[in-house]
Amino acid sequence: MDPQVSGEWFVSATKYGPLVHARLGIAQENSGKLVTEVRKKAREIAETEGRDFLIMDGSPGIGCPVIASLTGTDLALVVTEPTPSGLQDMERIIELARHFKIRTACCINKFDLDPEYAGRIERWCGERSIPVAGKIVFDPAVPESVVRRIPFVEYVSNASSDVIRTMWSSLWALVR
Amino acid sequence: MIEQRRDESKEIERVTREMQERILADLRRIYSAAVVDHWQHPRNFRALV
Repeated sequence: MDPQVSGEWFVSATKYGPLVHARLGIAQENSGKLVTEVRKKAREIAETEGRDFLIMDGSPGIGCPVIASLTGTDLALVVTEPTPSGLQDMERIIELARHFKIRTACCINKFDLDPEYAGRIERWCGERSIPVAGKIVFDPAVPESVVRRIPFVEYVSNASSDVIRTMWSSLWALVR
Repeated sequence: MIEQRRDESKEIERVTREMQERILADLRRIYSAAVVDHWQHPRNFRALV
């Protein structure tokens, strides 16, 4: 098999710190190798600049890129939604994280779409000692902030952004 | 010939409509009304500014 270029990785400067990211070629699938490459570069920069932590946006699913995102992390925040498929996917990713002995916490996004099911997810987490770090309502300001390329917590100050800020504090307390 | 194709086309439309209604009925049994509504009318997209 000949090596193929499936994407390119970049390092960008942001006011929050360096951002290492990648762009896949047209019709190219993500791979664990690409994720590992991006992580390697991010770690290298973090060590050189004396950064305290690395935040990774994991791939969806439980495949090879997800395993590459998870390995060696201190904590995985599993973002789910209050639906049967949301719970099922969360169960699988938590099982995967447990296999690698990685701690997990949960965030229920758009919990107001089905508060009853959100309660079921909370109970499921409670039975397994998985902290629910936050519950966020559906907020149209989220897609608005994305199209304006402004982080949500800077775009608005409301109940949802407060939940995200509180969630960050809880997660930080868990990893420290 | 044209008449026959028109009938076939109407039949396909009818079968498709019935299939969609069945899928929707199944979804309503599993997902909340709000989730189905968000699925049918997505709110999470905008044009880039």
